Amino acid sequence: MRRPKGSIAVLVVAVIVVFALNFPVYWMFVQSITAESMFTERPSLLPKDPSLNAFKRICEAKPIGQWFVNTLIVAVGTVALSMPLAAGAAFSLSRYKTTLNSVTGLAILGTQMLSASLLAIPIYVLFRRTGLHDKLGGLIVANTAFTLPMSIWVLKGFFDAIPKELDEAAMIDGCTVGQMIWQVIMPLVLPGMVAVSIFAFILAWDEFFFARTLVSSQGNWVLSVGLSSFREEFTINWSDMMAAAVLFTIPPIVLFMFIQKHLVSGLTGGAVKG
Amino acid sequence: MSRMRTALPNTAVNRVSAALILPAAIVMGAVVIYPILTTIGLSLTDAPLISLSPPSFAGLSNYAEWLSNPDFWRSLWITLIYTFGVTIGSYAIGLFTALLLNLDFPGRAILRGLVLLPWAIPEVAAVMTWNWMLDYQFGIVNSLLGSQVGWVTDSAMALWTVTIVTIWKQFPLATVVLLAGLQAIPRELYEAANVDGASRLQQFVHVTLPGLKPVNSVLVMMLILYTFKRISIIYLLTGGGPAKATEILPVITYLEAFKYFRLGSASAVGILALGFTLVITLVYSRVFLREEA
Repeated sequence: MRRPKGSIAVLVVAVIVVFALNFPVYWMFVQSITAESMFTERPSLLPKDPSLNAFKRICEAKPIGQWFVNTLIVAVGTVALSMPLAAGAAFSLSRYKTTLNSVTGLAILGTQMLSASLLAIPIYVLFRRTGLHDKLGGLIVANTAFTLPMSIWVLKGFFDAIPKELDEAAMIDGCTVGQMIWQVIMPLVLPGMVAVSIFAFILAWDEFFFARTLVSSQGNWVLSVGLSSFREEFTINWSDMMAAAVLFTIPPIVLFMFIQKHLVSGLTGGAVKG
Repeated sequence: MSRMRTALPNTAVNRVSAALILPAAIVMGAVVIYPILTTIGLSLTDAPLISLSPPSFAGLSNYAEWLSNPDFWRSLWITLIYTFGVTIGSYAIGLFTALLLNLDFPGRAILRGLVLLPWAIPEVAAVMTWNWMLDYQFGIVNSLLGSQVGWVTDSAMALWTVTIVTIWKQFPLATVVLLAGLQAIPRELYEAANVDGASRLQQFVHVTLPGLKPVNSVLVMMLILYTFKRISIIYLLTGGGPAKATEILPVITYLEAFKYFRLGSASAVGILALGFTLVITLVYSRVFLREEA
C-alpha cells in the first residue's frame, strides 16, 4: 500500500506527542532504578548509575509479598464472584424484556452515579455489623458493587452480537434452556468473557478507596493501600516509592495489552462499537 | 408473543429470565441499593461513626445545616470547576490525539496502544509519581520549568494541579472513543468533500465534527459522571487542601465520615452530591440525548 507523502513527518510528531504524554510513566520507571543519592541534585532525565537497590530495599523493609498476595486474592475473588452472576444477568438482559429486567437495567446505569465515598459509608457500617470489616472477603464483596454492573453491561454487548435465531434453532433442535446457553451461546461469547474478566481483574487490582476504608490491619492491606502509605512516612523515600509503584503497575499493564481491542465497547458499555 | 420472538411460552420466559438475573440483582441490592437506602436513613440521624446507643432521629436538620453552610456551596462550586475543567481538557487532548492517530503512518498501531498507558496504570501509582514530579524542592517539573511553584501546597495553584493530573489520567478514554468515532465516518464523505474542493479545515468542520456527534454525547456524559464522583486523585494529591482549596464534594463526604466521625452529616452531603449528579444527568440527557433518538 502506498503511503501518502509526509507520513514519516506524521510519525515523528505522533511519537513526540505520545512520549510527551507518557512522560510520568517513563519517570516512574527511571526513578525506580535511580540511586537515592541522586534525588537531591538537579534531576537528570536519564537514569544515572542505575541499580535495583530500591526494589531490594522495599522487599526487605515492607511486607510487599504479603500485599501482593492479598491484592491477587482480592482481584481473583472479585472476578470469581462477579463473572457467573454477570453472565446470567447479561444474557437475561440481552434476550428478555421483563419488568424485572428493566428495573435491573436501570439500577445498573444508576450505579454509574455513585461515588466510592458515598458507598463506603453504608458498606463500612454494614461490614462493622456483620464482621466483614478488615477481611479480604469483605473487600471482594464490596468490589462487586462496581465490577458487577460494569461486567453485566459489557457482556450484554457481547450477547447482543449473537443472533437470536441461534437460540431458537437450538431450542427447536430440542436443547433445554440450560443446554442452549451452556453449549451453544457460551462458547461463542468466551472471548468476551475473558476480556471482561480481565477488565474486572484490573479494576479490582487497582482499587484503592474501599481497600483504604474497609481494611485496617497492615497484614490485610492490598498494594494500593501499601503504596499510598509510603507518602505518610516521616521522610519519604521517593526511589522506594517509585519501585513499589512499578511492581504494582506491571501486572495490570501486561493484562491491559490483551484486552486493548475490546476497550472501546468495554468503556462505553457497548454504546459505541469499537 | 408480541414483544419478542422466542421458542418459549411467556410464563416460562419469565421464569428463565428471572432465574438468570436474580442472583446478580440480589447481590447488587446487597452492595448498592441497600447501602444507599441505609445512607438516606443515616442522613436523617445524628449517627457518629462508632456508636453504642442507637442514633437519634434528626429529621432534615443535616440537610438544612449543609445547605446553609457556605463551605458546602464553595465545595459544590469547586466540584463543578473541577468536573468541567477535566471534561473539557480530556476531550480536547482526546480529540487531538485521536485525530493524530487516525492519520496513516507506519507504526500507528503501537502508538495507539502506548497513548492509553496513562489510563492503564493504577491510579495510586500514577498519583504517587505525580506527587514526586510536583515536589516543591526536588521535583522534575519545577526543575524543568526552572520555576518554584508549590503545585499542591499553594492554594491558588492546587485546583489547577489536580485538574491537570486528572485530565492526564482520563484523556485516553476520550482518545479511544473518539478514535472509534472517527473510524466510523465513511471515507466516501471525505472523497466527496475533496471533489467539491473543500479545504482541510472545511472538511474538519463539515464532515469530521458532525460525524463525531453520535459518540460525543455518550463520551461527554461519561467524562462528566466519572469526574464528578472521582475522589482518589484529589484525596491522594492534596487531601482536599490546602485550606480546602480542592475539597470537592466526595472528599467532604469522606472526611466528614472517616475523619470527623459524623456519619449522619456525611451521609447527607453525600446524598446531596448524588442529587446534583442526578440533576446534571437528567438535564444533559434531555438536552443532548433526546434530539438524536
